[in-house]
Amino acid sequence: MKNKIQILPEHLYNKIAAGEVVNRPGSVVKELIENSIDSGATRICLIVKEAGKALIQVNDNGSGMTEEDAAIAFRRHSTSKIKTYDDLENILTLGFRGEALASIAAIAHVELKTRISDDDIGTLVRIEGNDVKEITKISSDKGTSVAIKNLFYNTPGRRNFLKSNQTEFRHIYETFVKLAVSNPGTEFEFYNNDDLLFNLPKRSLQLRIQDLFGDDFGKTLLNVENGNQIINVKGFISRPGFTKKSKQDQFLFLNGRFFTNKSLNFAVYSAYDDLIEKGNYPSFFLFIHIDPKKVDVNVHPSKLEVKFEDEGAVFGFLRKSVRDTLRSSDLTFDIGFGDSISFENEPQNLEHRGSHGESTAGLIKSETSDRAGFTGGNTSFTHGDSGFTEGFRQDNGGSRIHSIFEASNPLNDINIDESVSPAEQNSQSAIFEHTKKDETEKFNIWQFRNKYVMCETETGLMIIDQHAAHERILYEKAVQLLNSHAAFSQQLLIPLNIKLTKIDFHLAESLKEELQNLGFNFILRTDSTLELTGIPSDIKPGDEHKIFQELLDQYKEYEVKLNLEKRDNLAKSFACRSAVKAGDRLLKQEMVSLVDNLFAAQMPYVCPHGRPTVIRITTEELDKRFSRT
Amino acid sequence: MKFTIQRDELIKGLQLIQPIIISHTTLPILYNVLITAEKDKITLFATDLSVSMKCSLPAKVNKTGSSSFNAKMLFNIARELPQDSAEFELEDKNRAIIQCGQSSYKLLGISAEDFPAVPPFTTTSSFLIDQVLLKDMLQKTTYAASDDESRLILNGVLMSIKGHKIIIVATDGRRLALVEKEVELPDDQKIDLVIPAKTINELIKVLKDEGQVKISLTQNMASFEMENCTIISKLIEGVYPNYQQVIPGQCDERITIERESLLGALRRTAIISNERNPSVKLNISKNQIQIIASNNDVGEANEQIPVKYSGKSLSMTFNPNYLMDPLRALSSDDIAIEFTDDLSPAVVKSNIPFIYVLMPLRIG
Ligand SMILES: Nc1ncnc2c1ncn2[C@@H]1O[C@H](COP(=O)(O)OP(=O)(O)OP(=O)(O)O)[C@@H](O)[C@H]1O
Ligand SMILES: [Mg+2]
Repeated sequence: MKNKIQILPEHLYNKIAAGEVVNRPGSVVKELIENSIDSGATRICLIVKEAGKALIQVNDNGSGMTEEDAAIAFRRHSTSKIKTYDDLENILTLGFRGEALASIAAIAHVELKTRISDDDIGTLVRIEGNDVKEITKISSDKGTSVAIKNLFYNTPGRRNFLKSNQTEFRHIYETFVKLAVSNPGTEFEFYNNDDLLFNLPKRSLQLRIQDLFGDDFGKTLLNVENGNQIINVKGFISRPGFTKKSKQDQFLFLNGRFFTNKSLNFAVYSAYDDLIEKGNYPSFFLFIHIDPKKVDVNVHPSKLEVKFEDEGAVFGFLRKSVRDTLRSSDLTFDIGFGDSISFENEPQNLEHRGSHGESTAGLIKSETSDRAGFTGGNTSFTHGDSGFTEGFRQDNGGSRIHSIFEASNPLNDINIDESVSPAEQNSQSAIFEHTKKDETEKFNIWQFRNKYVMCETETGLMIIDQHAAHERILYEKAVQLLNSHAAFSQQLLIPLNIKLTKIDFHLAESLKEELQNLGFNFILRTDSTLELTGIPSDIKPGDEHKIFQELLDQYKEYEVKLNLEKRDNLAKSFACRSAVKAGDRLLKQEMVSLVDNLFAAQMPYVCPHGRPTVIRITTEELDKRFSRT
Repeated sequence: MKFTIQRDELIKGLQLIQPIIISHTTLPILYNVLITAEKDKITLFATDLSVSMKCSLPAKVNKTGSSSFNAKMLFNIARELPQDSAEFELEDKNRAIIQCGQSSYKLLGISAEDFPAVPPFTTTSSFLIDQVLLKDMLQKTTYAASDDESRLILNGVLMSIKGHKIIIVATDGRRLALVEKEVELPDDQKIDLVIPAKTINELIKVLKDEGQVKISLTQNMASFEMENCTIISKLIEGVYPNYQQVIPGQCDERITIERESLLGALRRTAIISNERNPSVKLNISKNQIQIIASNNDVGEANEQIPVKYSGKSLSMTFNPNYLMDPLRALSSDDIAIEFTDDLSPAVVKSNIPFIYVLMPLRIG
């Protein structure tokens, strides 16, 4: 016997190949539900017991199979979905490799019941490890039902590698969520150990997301829609300020198929830019559609990866689409009373929750009820539908503020404390460009706790965080200056000497060019002394010294904490240190100017650190509270 | 204490001392004005502990004495008194009755003993200057002083007396104004004093167009004595920056221009400029100055002023307010502007001798 190579018997081969397609209960769920979706089902029911180890069953009302097809469906490379190579290039179904059922059948006990609508009687097929044990006629509903038992019964290695029920169930759950999100037009039911977890009616995408993740989460999302002949994207992304500490709710779909791609996830993330604090991540559900010829979905048997003909272009397109949405949305938070909004929401993932309950059902319940907790209260966040935003978006001229504050009102000045001492007036007057006094007279705007600016708008009451808002204005200005080399620097007749620590001195040296772009001109003298010869022309005389030092301090802090890019750090530091603080009293003109400048900013709704600058209580909300409706 | 006073005199006096009264203090007596009745006059005295002011008003005094009252309240009362004269009588230490026609007020005060005393003032030297001259010099310079408390010395105005010359300088580190006058001073004095801008602003208000003011000095205080009014002020201690060093000795170019037309042009263009961060560009070329202000959000303004000029062409950018300040303060028909390049200081001159040095804005 000299020859050693043998062709493997089909049974053995299937068992090996099965490992690629089916490596845990979750992948069985994925393959079965995908088959149901491909079959045109409008109702799909998933039943799982003991995290799939005892039972995974999927029932659908799709096309069903003839007896002949049902018998052959479990053979490797048996598929109804492609016939030629050309078809492979044009895949629009989720399955196409013709190996899922074969792989599953190789390592489990399978029972298939199916009936096509033309027949009166259906077919039952029973298979154990690729051996067909039974094919009989039975009466059954139209569609297909596949039940998988004793998964990995004949591959102890696999079986032993399975994780705890919690973990395996989490995979099933996540798989279900992905498929349910990407097929909102299909009804889904999901039973776990006889408990009905989800009963999802036919929905729009947004409502499907709400059904799965909770109402208020759904309402914090922004709609993305963009496209051309070649590529388009639709879906939802997190509103800035509602980002999470984890990346777990990030979903990308290509032509209806969930896929993973770190680079494209980053494209979305990077579009948020300064709207998101480091360490937070947006949630997103983005559906990319692209000519199937331009992508290869057949990279791995699990079909989770795709290859784009031009990934760079997709990256750019995705980032731009998300960015456009962010820049053009009204990101004002509308709140009602009694809300307990936590902006940095983080529904914890199941693994962390292990101690809460032993059974997977218990687990998933706490998950869902927690989501519901997130949805508690009666927060209502509007999407870009407010007349207020439209008002000023259409009006690019200088009178922006008029359209915001059209309503003139009798309550004018009601809360303005006029007893501002001359000294205080002085200290503030350099902060904003002053809108002419008579113009400001008619706006109902006042300061609350020297911290928030309250003002009346067409749709309700707007509350602005003065520091965050001013920071946003200054940040955009600083960024613009850093890039445009157009700062006006008032040259000093008598230079200011600033004695710095060694560290600060070196920092100033390394930032010399950028600081100059902001308007700080200086000469580095010996002995850690810096001679300021020019200062940004809008800095209040007397503050230059302080602002310069604070700028360096802030820079150092952000460098450690946020690990920002140099210019961005400088812009944020500059904005933070020069902005009015909570506690600063503002004159009315200053408040009007703040609001005016804020809404002239590119991204008025969040400060450079991703915190909200504006929230709003609508008149309807107030009316509701006073039972006027 | 009991006296009768003309309402208008009282109003005038209280008005003068009003700015001395600070608006926020932890020492409430500083809200008060101290009234002292002497032979045939009363004096009002107010202090913020660094500047004090004393005003005498003619009055018919029946009984001498003194007490202090809230200055703002008293002023408000005085303004509303129904008749021309009012009687003021102290009931006890700190309660006064003001009687005017049918109206009467009972006013609670704080007794005179509690009022901070004028610090002892032992004159080391003194001299006399024409009030009108001093007022003019101060008005031409004080606006350039800084109100930045971190550079305290620049909050003051330098008065430098050398031989027969008196020089007044004010700067905030960005621009500097200097005026110089020959005066008749009895002996050869050489004195430098830095007077707080707040004092100067008060002084400008009380200086008249006639008569002289007697300036007396001690180590760290100065008093300005006029006919019915005296201001006593702490001086700012420290060394005033060497102003001669920042005045350019020689500039390359010089333009003579009508003051009013330059001021008008600046005023008109500055309207467009960003209020918070104003700037105007001066394009200087043969026989013409072009002034441009532009603002991305608003638009652009453009002015041309014909001048006699044949030097090099150049552009300089300034904060228009800084450029307009001296033009407003001067009264001569023509002024000269000297300059060298877009990053060197420009100098405004008038024949008084007056010098104003201004640093330009640098772009990018
Ligand atoms: N629920 C179902 N309803 C109707 N037909 C089905 C169903 N499940 C499987 N089939 C038929 O069985 C065939 C084999 O399914 P299988 O999942 O093995 O392969 P596939 O879906 O074609 O490709 P892939 O291996 O990529 O999933 C399918 O092509 C389809 O014709
Ligand atoms: Mg399949």
